[in-house]
Amino acid sequence: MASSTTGEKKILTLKGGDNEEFILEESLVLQSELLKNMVKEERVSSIPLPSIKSKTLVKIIEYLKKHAELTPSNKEEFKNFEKEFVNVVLEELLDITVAVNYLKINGLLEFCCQAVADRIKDKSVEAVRKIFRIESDFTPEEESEFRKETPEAFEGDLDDTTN
Amino acid sequence: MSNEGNHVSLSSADCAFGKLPDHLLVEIFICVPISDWGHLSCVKKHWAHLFRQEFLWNAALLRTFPLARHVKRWPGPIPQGLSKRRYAALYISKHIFSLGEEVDDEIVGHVYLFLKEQLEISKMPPLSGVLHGTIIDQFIACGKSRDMAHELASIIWLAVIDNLEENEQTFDLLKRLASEGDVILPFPYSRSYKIQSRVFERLFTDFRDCLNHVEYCDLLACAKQKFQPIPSAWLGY
Repeated sequence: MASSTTGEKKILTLKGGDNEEFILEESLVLQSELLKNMVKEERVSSIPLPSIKSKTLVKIIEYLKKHAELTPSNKEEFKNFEKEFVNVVLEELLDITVAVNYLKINGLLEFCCQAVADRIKDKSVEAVRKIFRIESDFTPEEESEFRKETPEAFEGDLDDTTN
Repeated sequence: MSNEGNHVSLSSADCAFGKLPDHLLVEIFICVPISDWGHLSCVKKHWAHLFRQEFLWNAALLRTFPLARHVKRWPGPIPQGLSKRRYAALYISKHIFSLGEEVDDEIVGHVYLFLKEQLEISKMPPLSGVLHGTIIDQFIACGKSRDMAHELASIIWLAVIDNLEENEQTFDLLKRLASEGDVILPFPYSRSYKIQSRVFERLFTDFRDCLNHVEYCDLLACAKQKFQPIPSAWLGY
């Protein structure tokens, strides 16, 4: 497929997992390292992304558009948008995280990881299992063993991994 | 085109996190406060396995202490160790000694861990003079002056003694430290007066109730020989 041009804006087609097509400006996808390389090196104009559900792709494109419009004056608005962006059911958030990781959109990836992390912090083991529908594969003895393993220095409220 | 989209059954239980590759799980874990890590490693075996991996600790180390990336290995008897060890050392440097994350700061954390472990874990720890000598050698190997080495060693000794838990093991340890004979060593291998005095202080305050009368009298006699005058808080059985 030849690359199509309207005015000076290059247009690109992304194809989601269920073959739905999304047409958008090429400049938008440059935020993704993966797509940037494809566009720059191979000069493609249509990129199939079979591993990403269309629903997920819609969300990501929405983010790319918002992010491209980000200026110092609408920072607040963007922050609110980001908050809403990850305010989805866990299953969907994980889909987005995996897709963003695949597309290598670094800023958004960090944000998604933090959003997932926020859902498991301050939770008991049982609560984490419930949220993520994980069944324990430990015997009770093994589990108490692991609970003892946490290094002493890391107990308590002192921590600086969240900022 | 054919419908190839439904190749994975994403709805099955236990898979929500199964989709995530290990490096993404690690990225998520290191965003969770470290005080929760104990919980997380109990969720399932695979997670527990991840928390034992060098790459997880390396990621955590670099996220929390970005400058640690530039720290090279150092000479001397106390090694840098792997990322988990380095994390613990830097954590101690920061929270116990209010230091940064440069190489000099990191070594302080490592020395603290070394001393604490030698005193706590081993059944028959080396004489404190030997441990002190190792610490001095470490600081000198890292290019510290003799004065500086002595000062840092003293600060670390005091912090370790202060942070020993109040239990029977510590009681025995402190009694042994107090009864060690004085060996005359040249500066900076001689331990400072303050370290000795802190050992007695903890025995006479935190462990006063554990001392029997004979032990108390022996200790006090020993203390009177070493320290003049004796703080009044140490007196009165």
